[in-house]
Amino acid sequence: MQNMAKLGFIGLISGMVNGLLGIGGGTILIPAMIFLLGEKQHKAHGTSLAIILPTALVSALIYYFHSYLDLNLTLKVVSGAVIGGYIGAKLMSRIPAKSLKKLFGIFMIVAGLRMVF
Amino acid sequence: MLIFVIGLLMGILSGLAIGGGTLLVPALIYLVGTEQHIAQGVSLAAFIPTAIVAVITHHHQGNVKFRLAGYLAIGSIVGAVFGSLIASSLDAQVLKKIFGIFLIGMGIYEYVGKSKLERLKEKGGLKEPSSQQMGKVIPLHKPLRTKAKAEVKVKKK
Repeated sequence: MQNMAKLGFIGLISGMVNGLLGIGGGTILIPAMIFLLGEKQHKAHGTSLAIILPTALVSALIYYFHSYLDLNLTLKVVSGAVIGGYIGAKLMSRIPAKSLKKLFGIFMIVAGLRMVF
Repeated sequence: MLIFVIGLLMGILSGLAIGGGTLLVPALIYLVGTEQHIAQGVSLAAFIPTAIVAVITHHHQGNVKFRLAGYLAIGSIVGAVFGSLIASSLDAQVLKKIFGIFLIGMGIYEYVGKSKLERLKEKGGLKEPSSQQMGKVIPLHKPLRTKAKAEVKVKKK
């Protein structure tokens, strides 16, 4: 029962973030699965995608009904993202992800500060 | 063309397992001039085709636990309905500030996340923290894992 409550709670929080902010939710799900449920990193990653897929679908539908979904713009982003995703996966073993992570961490903080102020 | 390039860069980042999608929303807002809600809608919808391909790939590698995903998805879908409805009712400026706060938090996590894992390693909770980004296995504290697994099994019945 306690475990079920834990699963429900983790799901609820990541779903809320997904719908409210329009971002995947993997940033919450993956660490939650690793640290709270004891899953392995790569299993947590794969499983999180299977959770975010229906979640993003539901969120996107609600955005669509509120006229917040620009399909034309989405199509342009997706066409770039598909090619980029392929390149990124190929580069994965050659790029020092650790320093890139730090660099983009700084990017996020700067963008976040600009959005708040 | 600019939008295509933004998509390309986000795709590369996601492929590198660095939160690419998180940067898509501010990129659309500041480089293209998209409204906050629309940018978030694009981020959600753009995720769907990418995720379908990714789920299939991870499934082939045996890395998708569908039963666990199902349990978590129940809460997640309920949360998504609430979250989307709240977002729709909020003013774009307010939503942008909330997003900004979350982005700062995420940025800090991305920046210091590694040292956090290393601290856990020192406590004996984790081994091989540096392999995380390479998609290798992080052997977790064994008793903890077995216990969590056992709990999930009990729940299945």
